[in-house]
Amino acid sequence: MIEKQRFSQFGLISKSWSSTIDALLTWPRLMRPFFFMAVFEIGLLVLLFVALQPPFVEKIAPVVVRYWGQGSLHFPQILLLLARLFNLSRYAIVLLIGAFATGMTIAGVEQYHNREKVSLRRVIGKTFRKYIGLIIITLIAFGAVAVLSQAVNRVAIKILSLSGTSGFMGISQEYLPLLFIAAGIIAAGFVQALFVFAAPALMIDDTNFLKAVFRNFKVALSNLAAAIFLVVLPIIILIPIQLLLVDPYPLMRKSFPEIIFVLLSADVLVTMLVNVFITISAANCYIILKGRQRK
Amino acid sequence: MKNILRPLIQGICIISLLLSVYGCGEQYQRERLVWMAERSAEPVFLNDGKVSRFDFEKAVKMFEGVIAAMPETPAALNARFRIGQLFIARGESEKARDVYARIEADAAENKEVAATAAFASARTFEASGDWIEAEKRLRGIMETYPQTRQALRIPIYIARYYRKNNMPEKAELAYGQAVMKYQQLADTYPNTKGALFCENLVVRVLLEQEKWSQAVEFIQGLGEKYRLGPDTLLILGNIYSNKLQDQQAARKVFERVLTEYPEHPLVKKAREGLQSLSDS
Repeated sequence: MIEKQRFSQFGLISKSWSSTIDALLTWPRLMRPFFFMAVFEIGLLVLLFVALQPPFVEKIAPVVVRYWGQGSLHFPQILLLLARLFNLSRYAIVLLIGAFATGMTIAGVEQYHNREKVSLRRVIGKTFRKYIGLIIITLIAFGAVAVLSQAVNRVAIKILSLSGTSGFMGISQEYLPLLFIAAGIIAAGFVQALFVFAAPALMIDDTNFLKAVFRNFKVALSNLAAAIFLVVLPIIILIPIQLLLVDPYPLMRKSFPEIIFVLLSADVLVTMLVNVFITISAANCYIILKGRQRK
Repeated sequence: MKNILRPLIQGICIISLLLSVYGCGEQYQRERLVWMAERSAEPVFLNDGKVSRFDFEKAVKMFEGVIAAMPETPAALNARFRIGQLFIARGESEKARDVYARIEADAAENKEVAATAAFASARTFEASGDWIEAEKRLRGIMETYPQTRQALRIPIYIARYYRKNNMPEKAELAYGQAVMKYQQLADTYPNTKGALFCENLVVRVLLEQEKWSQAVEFIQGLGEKYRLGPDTLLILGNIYSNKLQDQQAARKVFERVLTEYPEHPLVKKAREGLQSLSDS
């Protein structure tokens, strides 16, 4: 029975992924919502950089000086400030645009599965109707990840303070923070996996967000392995770039300071690919599970 | 998928390239230039000048680039001093002195800069082991630029040299001469910034000589003339607390910082002082 369950989860994952690749190859337009989000993020990066230059900087200088100090307005700290501000504003983008992009992508996947004639107007219309629900689901997932991050941080600080200079379990103290960050990203992936079917349930079942979250838990918990694999495996790709972004200053010194733009842009690009893959494969997985239920 | 990814990657590369080449504002470009010059000088200073000729000349050229890009600015002046330091690190004292001599000559109207250049030049003799020539030049600065802060720091600098090189008698004599000079100047120009600067130097001399009671007495004398700043009060509190073991007096002084300068960043230090008194 257990073997059968394992096989069915593996089968579900591979079928979801193969459908995802198939959908992307036959209808690459599915990437567009997240593509536009990425373009928007890059635009925001440029805008923030321009905002940190004279004469615009004079307007925001008091706020920057209050929170990050006068030094952060000078080279090369200004580039580190840019990275911080960019990461902060990305939360708003993920919430407002990311939720919409997720809804549009899922609506597109649904149309692709139904072999309907794809209508952008219908996709946008449906997403617009579910927009508040999508935002609430994103907020709930954000909240859960934030709570988990706090917990991981506390554990990390405790272990770091206990480990002293000798390290922890044979791992040098130098690498411990990086290890915790990688572990934090994977743990965040596990939490996200618990909410991965919420948006597909909201869009595909055409229900309200409360029922969608409830159905999501039902589906995710009964297909936990599939949910975790669908989210955590693509997220692993994010780890190297996230580790580089934890403290980019050494890299800026070794190469050239503006490498921060390349890093942030690469982060946007990789995140876009990961988002596209997770969203489409989760939607595919949900549709496959619904199909099985009907049978 | 290629159709979507290609323009995105191209766009990102173009934006990154444009930002890296042009930056944005003039200030950004200038600060970048200075930072790059400092970066190129780091290996020279870290390895005491033992780097390839290419790396050394690259560092010098970078600072020359700063001077050319923003002439007549503090950054350009600093770059000229850095070139001098690069030559010193390389062991080329003569060339360093040439650099400093040119700075001194060009700064005829800015005595402080001229004195700083002359001081840096004198130090090249000290670095090469010729203290006699160094001291001669240092005393020369005191005569040529008597009103500058750089010149005022020289008596204490000379005293420190003797102390550092285990010549206590000479150090004591130099400290004594320094105090006499500072007090004489403070009396000649009373109630001026210069007088205050000299009086602060007297406090520093007394602290370096570990004459705690005399230091307290002197600071209290200053307190009758001026409103003591939080930094001076902290020095006083720490002398009472750590050197004279007068906890009550220390507590009064730390509390004075809290009441007289409640918004000052040094309030934190005063609280720490009070905390350590309570702990002990």
